Amino acid sequence: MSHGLPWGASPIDLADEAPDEVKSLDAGPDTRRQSMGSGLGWAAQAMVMSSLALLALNSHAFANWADQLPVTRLSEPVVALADGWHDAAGRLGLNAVVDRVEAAATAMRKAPWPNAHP
Amino acid sequence: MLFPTLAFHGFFILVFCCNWLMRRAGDWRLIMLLVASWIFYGWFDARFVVLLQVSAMLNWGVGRLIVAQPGRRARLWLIAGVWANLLILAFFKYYDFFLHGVSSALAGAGLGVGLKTLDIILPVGVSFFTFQGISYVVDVWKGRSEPARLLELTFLMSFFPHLVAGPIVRPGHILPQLRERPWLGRGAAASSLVLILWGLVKKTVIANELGMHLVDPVFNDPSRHSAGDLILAAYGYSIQIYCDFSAYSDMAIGLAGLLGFRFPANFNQPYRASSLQDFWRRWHISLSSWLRDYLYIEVLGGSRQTLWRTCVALFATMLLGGLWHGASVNFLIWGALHGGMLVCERLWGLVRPAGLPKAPVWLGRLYTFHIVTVAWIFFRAKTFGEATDFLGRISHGQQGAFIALPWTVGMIALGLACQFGPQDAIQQLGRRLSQAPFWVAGLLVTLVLLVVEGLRGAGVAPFIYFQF
Repeated sequence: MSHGLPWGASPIDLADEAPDEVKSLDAGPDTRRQSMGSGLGWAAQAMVMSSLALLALNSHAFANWADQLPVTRLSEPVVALADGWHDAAGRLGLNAVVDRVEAAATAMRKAPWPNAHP
Repeated sequence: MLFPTLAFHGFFILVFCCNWLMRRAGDWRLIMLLVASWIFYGWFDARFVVLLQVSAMLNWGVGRLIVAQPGRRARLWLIAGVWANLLILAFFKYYDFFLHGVSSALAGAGLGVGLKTLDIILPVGVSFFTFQGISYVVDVWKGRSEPARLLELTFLMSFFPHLVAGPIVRPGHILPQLRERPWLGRGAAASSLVLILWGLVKKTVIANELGMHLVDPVFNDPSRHSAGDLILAAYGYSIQIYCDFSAYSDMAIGLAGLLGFRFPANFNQPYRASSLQDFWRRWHISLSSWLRDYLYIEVLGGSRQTLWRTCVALFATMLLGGLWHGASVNFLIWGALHGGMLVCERLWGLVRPAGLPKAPVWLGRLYTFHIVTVAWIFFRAKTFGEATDFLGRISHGQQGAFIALPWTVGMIALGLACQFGPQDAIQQLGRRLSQAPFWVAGLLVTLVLLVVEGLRGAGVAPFIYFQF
């Protein structure tokens, strides 16, 4: 692999993935293909998993995004869907993580210095 | 389109899928990424895309002419190419500033000629892509980079992760990567995810909180606040600008990494620097190395000349580096402060008595952080008067409101603490994450994103460096 950027100059370079080491393995080019396959598959599956989990647990973001869409005939059903899903997720308790962190953050933002006069 | 938004999340997932489905499609993959980058850039203002395309064609044409006509003619084409890039930058960034200056000077001389400004809209990221254009023509002339095809150069200048706020990637670093089949190791993928998440935390939690609850209110009306607030706001801005800008770089590197491209590091814990010279090796590395290679050494002669000329070159480089940020006297002063202190450090290194014990590292760090923080006040304030007034209020120990709360001070402490953690923390976390099964990694990513969503206030402020 003849990358112009020296290995280690990028923050995503891990020593154990250095191209020279991969080349020196018995499997040769196959190892790299295998490594690429496992890296890509792993990343793709993790991203799909995370996106689906966010769709379920972060309906806030979906609803906020929909509310900011320009009001048109096309956006109306999207807004209704997003708001409906946000309400449903709230009833199912799926918004609990974000709601709790938000409540804690609000309290922490307002917390005064010890011994401060009210 | 801002990185920490749902719209960008959807955009990136789509681009990620297309990129890897087309990994054997050669140029078609680049074309897809190029179109995606134009959509991303056009989201800010579709007219800017045309400017980007014209700039890429111009640099490609100059590169071809340099290769086709070696010798003296190539040098002429190089000069023409560099000036063309600088004119584009000057027109969009400095034209109105220059006209205001000329108008004021004429009015001062009693010649009240009404020069009309054009109210030019500054294209997002114009400073970054013109610098990349300049480095391409210089590198082709110097033989440091092979000439690129039009598609490759347009891609290099337009690729969306680094398009609007860097890092400024060198042709020699990226062009070879375009000619290989993309590759994504599990460690690289995991480190990329860690960088994106860490960038999100720095931007949407630390930088936004400091900006909204401390820095903006204090800098917008310093007369209402006590000296304690002013000092904390100055420290807060040092942390805010670091977290904001390095977050963009981290996310850009992570996003490019997930698409199979390796970008160089752009920050390396800058506030642990023990001298200003050390600071510039750690802060906005792609710009500081660009200024060093293409301006300080190439144009101004570098350090292989008399001491006097070296000091002038150093000072002028920082002054122009300040001006690169925008048409404002304050940016010039910011550059002059850094340039002046760098010259002082160099001179001190020469005249320092041999028997004098070396200052401890912590003292060097304290000194550097405070010099940088004072310079940031000029960077943040709108006018020179505002900045000096801000400093004056601190030195007089002004009485007034104290709005800094434990939360915002905690954010400053957090921002400072991450300067002193392990330097390979991202790689260590990436390695650990890569050892987890995909579903664990997916759930961890989700958890971090949910916490970020809960911690961040309403909305996402644009990145500070978008204005440059």
